[in-house]
Amino acid sequence: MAALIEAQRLTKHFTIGRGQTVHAVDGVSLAIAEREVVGLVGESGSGKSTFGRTLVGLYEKTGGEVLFAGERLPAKYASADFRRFASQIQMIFQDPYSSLNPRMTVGEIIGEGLKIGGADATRVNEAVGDWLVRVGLERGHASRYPHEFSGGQRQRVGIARALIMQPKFVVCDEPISALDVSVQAQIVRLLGELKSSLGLTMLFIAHDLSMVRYVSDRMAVMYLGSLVEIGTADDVYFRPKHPYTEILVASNPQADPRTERTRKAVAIKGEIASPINVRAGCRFASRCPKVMDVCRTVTPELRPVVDGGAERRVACHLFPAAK
Amino acid sequence: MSAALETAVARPILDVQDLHVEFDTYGGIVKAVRGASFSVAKGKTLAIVGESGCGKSVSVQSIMGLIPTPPGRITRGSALLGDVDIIRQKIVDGHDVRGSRIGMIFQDPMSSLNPTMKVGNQIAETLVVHRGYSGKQAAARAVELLASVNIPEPERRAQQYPFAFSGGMLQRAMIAMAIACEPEVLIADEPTTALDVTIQAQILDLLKELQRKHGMAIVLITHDLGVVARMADEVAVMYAGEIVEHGTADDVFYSAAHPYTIGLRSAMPSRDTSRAGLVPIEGAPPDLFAPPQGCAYFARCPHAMLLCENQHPPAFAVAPRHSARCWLHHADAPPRAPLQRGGKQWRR
Repeated sequence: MAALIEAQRLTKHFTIGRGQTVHAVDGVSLAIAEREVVGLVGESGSGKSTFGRTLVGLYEKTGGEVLFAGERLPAKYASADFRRFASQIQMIFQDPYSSLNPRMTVGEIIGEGLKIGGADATRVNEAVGDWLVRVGLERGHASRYPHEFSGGQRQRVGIARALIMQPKFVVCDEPISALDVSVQAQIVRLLGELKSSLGLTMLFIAHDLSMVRYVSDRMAVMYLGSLVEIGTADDVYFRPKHPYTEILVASNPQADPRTERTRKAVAIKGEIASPINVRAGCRFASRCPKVMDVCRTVTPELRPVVDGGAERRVACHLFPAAK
Repeated sequence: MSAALETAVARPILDVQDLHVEFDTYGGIVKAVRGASFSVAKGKTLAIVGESGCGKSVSVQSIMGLIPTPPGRITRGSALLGDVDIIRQKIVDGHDVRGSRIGMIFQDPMSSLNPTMKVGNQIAETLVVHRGYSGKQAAARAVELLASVNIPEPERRAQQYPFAFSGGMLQRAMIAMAIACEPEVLIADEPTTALDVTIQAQILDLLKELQRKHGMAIVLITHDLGVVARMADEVAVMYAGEIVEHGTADDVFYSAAHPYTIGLRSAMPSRDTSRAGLVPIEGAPPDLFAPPQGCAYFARCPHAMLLCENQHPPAFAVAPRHSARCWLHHADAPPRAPLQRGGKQWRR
């Protein structure tokens, strides 16, 4: 399957003065096939949101390339680039409270992209009304302001705003983290329906492993700016290979008291290290229960490992490369 | 019924009965808590589960006297800690029970600690106020407490300000402060919601360890059923200001009796959820300015009957110590198909 969007050793560093650099994303390569949903998981500070934002051009790239439908995207977007790519690449944000302009009506927010694209007012209004209905709101809501809506409804507005441009690729950055459980399921179902009817390709960024497993075809795990494991969602969730993925999956409590009662204490010592001026070696070495000498000096590459039939790649010295 | 539950029936350490809390707002009076009753025994954990706005936090905050009055007020109910109703009497033998006999930890440790005060001093303050320690004694004890919640280099950390701590470390510091006076009850209001899963696992393990050591009762407020399954002996499910189901963790997870509990469970992906398996609860909770006359879940309930719209359901006992506020459990309720995705069907 041809990749619709592909990051090649994509890197994003932030300089924070005094010669210090935050290695937010360090050489991440990820190809997403057409109509595929890839889930990206990791803890706060792992660089998953920065990766998503760099991928769609909201951040200037420090290094590496992004290919979209075979075309190389510019390292830094000019305003013409934003206009050109807005109709193909869109983003749905985490916080439905701060990502909508409180001084614009919902209709203006949703229709802004089309308006900038040069559509006339009647067509914009019609499309906005159609999309409000499509995301489960009402046409009459177009004249209301964001504060008049609940979190779940605002997230629906955010979805309509992104999808009205009929993009091919959408980055969903924690689209459900701020919502209640019953509303999360509503939004996930809506995204699923829109994905199949529009043939969307998605990068779904979240920290809730069970939800990511549920929505994604493949799951990628990020730790301190690099990918540590990628494979089919079920493989990664049920048969994690990288020690970090193992701990991440085991830390995720199941809504099942019998399982939880028999569970051993899984907590790992320590917290995610600082991404400032990282040293050589595996970035998980300081917390890894299976750490070896080599881990502290040689940075493991993400490489294929033998795992039944499905493709799986792991960045860990424990796993020799597949022949 | 297990022996542990018998004890819980006999001697709850905190016993809240018929709690009603209201708030005056520009839009009218919000009836945030409408008759909640729950209790917890020594060494046990009660989890109160529910979604935003269901009244779970307001319930415990009102017990602790943390509801600003006005606009909020407790209109009815009692909360017995031993023999003292702490809603009416905060000072016992010259000491405030809050902070000494009941400790509390909050969701957001960053905004719950004083940013201009060293962490060690904040913990020591509790001991000076409630236990009459001298400054020196309290400072030494604060370092011990930081060590007991597994903070590395406690002497150095005690001299730092909150900004130098990570979220997980701050939550540990707040736990150290809450347990400083060895309270009989610890109220934990969404203690891990702001934390990553690996840190959440550390904090939950720590709470369990401290509970084993000190035998304190824990009231855990959360929306995460995974956390409930890991921590709770008993579970109270709250919806629109009421406890709609109450029972042991096994009762509530494996033989759920209220359609809302079942709906909540089906809306969450589990290990064995297939791609078609996630069922959202359609609609939204009712407006608490004018709570519905009948069952609060009526508008969203797949099992709703005519009766449910106008008649408020009482709590029906479905098993010893397991109750549900649902007319389906009335003796005259029509025979029905099993509750969707309920009961034993949950386990594959």
